[in-house]
Amino acid sequence: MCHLEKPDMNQDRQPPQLLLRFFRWFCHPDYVEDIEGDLLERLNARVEAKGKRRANWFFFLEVFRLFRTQLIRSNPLEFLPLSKAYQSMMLATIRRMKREKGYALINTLGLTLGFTVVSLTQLYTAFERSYDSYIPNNHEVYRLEEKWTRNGETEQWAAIKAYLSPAMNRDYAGVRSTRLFKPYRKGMFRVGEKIFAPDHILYADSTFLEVFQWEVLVGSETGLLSEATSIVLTKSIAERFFGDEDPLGQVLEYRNRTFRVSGVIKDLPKNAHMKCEVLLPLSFNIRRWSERNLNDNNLYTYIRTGGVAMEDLSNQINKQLKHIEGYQHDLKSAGISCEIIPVPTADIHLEGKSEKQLAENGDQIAVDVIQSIGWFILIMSAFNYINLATSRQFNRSQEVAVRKVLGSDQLLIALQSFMETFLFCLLATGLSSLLTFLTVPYFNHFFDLTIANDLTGLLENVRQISIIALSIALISGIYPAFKLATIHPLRSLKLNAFYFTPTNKGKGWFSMRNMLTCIQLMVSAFTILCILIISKQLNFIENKDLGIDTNGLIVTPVHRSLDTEELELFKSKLYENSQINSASTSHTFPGRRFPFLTFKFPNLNRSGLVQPTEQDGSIWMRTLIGDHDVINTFGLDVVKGRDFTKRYASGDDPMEFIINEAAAEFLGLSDPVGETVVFTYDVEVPLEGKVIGVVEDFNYASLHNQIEPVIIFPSDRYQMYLSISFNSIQSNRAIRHTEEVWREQMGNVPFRYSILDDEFKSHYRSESHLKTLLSWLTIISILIAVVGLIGMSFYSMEKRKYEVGIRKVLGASVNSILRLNLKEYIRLALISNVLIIPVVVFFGRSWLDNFAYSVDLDLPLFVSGFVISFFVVLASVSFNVLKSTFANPTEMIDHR
Amino acid sequence: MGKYQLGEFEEVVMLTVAILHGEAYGIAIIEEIEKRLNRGVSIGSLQTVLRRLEDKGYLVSQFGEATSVRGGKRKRYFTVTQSGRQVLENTKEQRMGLWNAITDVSFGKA
Repeated sequence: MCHLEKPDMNQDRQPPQLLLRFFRWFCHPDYVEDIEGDLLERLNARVEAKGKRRANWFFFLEVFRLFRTQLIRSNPLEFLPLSKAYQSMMLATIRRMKREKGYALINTLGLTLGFTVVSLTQLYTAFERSYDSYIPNNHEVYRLEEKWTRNGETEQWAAIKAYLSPAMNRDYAGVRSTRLFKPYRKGMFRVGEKIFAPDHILYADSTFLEVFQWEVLVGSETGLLSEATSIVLTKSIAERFFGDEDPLGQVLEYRNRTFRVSGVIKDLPKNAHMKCEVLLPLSFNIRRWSERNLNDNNLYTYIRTGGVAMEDLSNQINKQLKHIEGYQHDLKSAGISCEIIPVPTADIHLEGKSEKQLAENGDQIAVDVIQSIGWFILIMSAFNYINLATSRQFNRSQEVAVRKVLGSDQLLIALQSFMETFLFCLLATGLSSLLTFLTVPYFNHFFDLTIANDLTGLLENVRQISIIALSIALISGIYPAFKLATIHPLRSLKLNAFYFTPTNKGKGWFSMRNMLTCIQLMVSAFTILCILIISKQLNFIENKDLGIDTNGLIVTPVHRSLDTEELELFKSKLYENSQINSASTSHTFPGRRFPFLTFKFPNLNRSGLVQPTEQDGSIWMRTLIGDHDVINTFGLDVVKGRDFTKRYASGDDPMEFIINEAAAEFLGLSDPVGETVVFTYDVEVPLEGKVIGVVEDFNYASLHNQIEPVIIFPSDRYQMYLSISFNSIQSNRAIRHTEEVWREQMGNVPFRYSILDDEFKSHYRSESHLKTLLSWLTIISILIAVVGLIGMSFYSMEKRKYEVGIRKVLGASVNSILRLNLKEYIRLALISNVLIIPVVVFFGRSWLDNFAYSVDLDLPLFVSGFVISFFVVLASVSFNVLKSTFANPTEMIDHR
Repeated sequence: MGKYQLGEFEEVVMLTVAILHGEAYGIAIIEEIEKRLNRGVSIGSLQTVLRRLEDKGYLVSQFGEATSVRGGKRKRYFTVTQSGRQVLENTKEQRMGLWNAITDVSFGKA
């Protein structure tokens, strides 16, 4: 033991150099020597008594306990490695900041707001643009979409037919492809005795990992779905299913079949355009599909090019297309063509507008608008700084004059003013980083995002944005700095006033300051008008008569088919509660997509009114398959003919169809009742029937889309959802009643319902985000404009002090002076509002183009925008203007 | 201007400086306090008090010789000034005055 305790003196007595340097840096120079000696003596004594590590720890504590106001350097500037001249300039700046607290506060707050807005909007837009960036080398991953041209009209489908992917794997070496299928009906998973209903289930080819390269947490990387009985879970769903147990090899039951967990993948991040919790092998399902189904646009086909140029690849695919099964017959018909369009996965979220998307997407224009407003607000706060800084330099004219007399050159004076800018920016950057840091969690929560959830990501973002913001702000310091440097020393000293060397005379009313203010006003006018347009459109959406009654409607998925008797029993039990109006099963429901199915109109074909697009003479139409209560449940209005009779169509009876007005128009029929219709989709024997009624057009999707022809018929083959209409959705007892009936009929399948109104609202997610964000941005931009105007009015009133005083002495009335003083601002407000109109019209139009039904950009909108910004201007300048108008003229003219 | 009242720690430090009599530098003072009063003192808190007392004029200091033990740094020796002695005596008198005013009954002696 002895040799261990004998430390090498030279090595072990070395004090921690970093701490020592820190101490020497902060300690008052008069005390540094003896205290350092004390520290070292203590350290040595402790090393001997307690060993090196503990001694060093004590040393650390001692050094930090020495960091006290009485012992550190008295002049904080001495901390900085600056020469004396700069130290003096710095000191003058700090003293000025202390003296003019209000000015310092306004300037710092303005810049802080600008920086914070830019950080937050950048974080938001960066998140919206980062979709699918989590996929390694995501620029190689494309989704293949079908673009159809039928009789001159084009439509693009996000999902395509089943055949392309196998053909690709066969024909193109190096290119990996996989197909995804999203089941219409959410299934139930039975794990032991427990039942789960995950929200996001996908069926995939076993090659899915080769394309997406998702991170596998448990299981082998290859062939996770190669067997028809394997299943892959995400981490969080595996935890929900199995708790702490090892999920690998666990058995669970789905649609009466047994699956074995073959792997666990990492949860998909929120910025993934698809949602997925459970992956099942496509082969399990595809075998059950009939020939017809394979021909449908059901499969989302993704490829990884593996370095092959996508352009060549898509040219080859399109050349080959007519040889690929499933695409052959369509292309023979005249006037119909199909093209495969590769869409980069990274573009799907913001630009994906094709039919049948995997999930709700974002909006490119909204992201662009928010981003540009963020930058404009930063520019506004920079302009503000310029305006305020130049206006406050009144108080410095004498100081600068003295400096000049003492031999300072212009550059040095400019440098000093620049230093002030730098200090303000530094302060604002620090504050805004803190503010961003504090607001990000709320921001995430509010918009359901995960921006910069980890500290390092956030810091990285803040750092980048700070650098940009800081450099912009520093550039904005150039103007006031050189402006100040041009002060004329003699006149400034003599007159005790701000007097520039007369180089910028005769610029008229449209000076630099006016221009800056005008641009600021334009930005706030822009945000005001944007928010007016968006509110108007959203109000319009909320109040538009959708043609259906979504009030008091709930929807619940049905996880297994009920036969006619079961369903009738179920419904009759529901009706026992008087609050329940009506209930119906259906294949889809308003607010969700209505699928396209095939129908034949034999009479119309013959007369040439309908051009068939399929070989068997059918056409595709959007379809709602319900039961006989479906019209009543969704509150549709029958305008011609009658509702369905209370029975289900069986093989022998003729079918009954109801179409909407758009369909009647599409078919070219003024009285469609009695027209023969044949349902040809996925049936062995086509089902023939008659149109028995016409319903008023109703919005089954969001107002982004035009109302299309829809055909409705009852059938018990497609029960996916049960919709129940209540007298009032607040009726808790009726919902409880429903739940009881459900439990009786469905056993232990959980009852989970959604409110139809919410389903509709989910279509406007990106719009309502835009509205909330813009409201905040508008408030902030108005605030910054107000601060700028206050600063500017102060400056110009100070400049006109003598003029106003003399006018008053000569007998001008308060009214005339008020008019004179306000004229300038009213003119600025007017000009900025007029100049911004084209920009607003451009952005407004392109945003409103997202909607099939939208409001107009009319005159009242622009007038109310002007009135708002007019009052903002008036309110912010009135204080200084009134002060100057009512001041005693003797005080104004008197200059010591 | 009332007379300056010494704080408790200030009084301890001044008394220790007086005890050490010419040998009072940072570490020596700390060790003496730790030995006599059995309480830990950090260099930071001691130095703060020493500077304050020096500012008041109760202590003066001068540098001693450099030694190798302390990395070649000189020690700063403190001594009590005349006014320092005055204020210590004042403090002591005040305390004694207070003690003398206490009767046995005050402590609840029966």
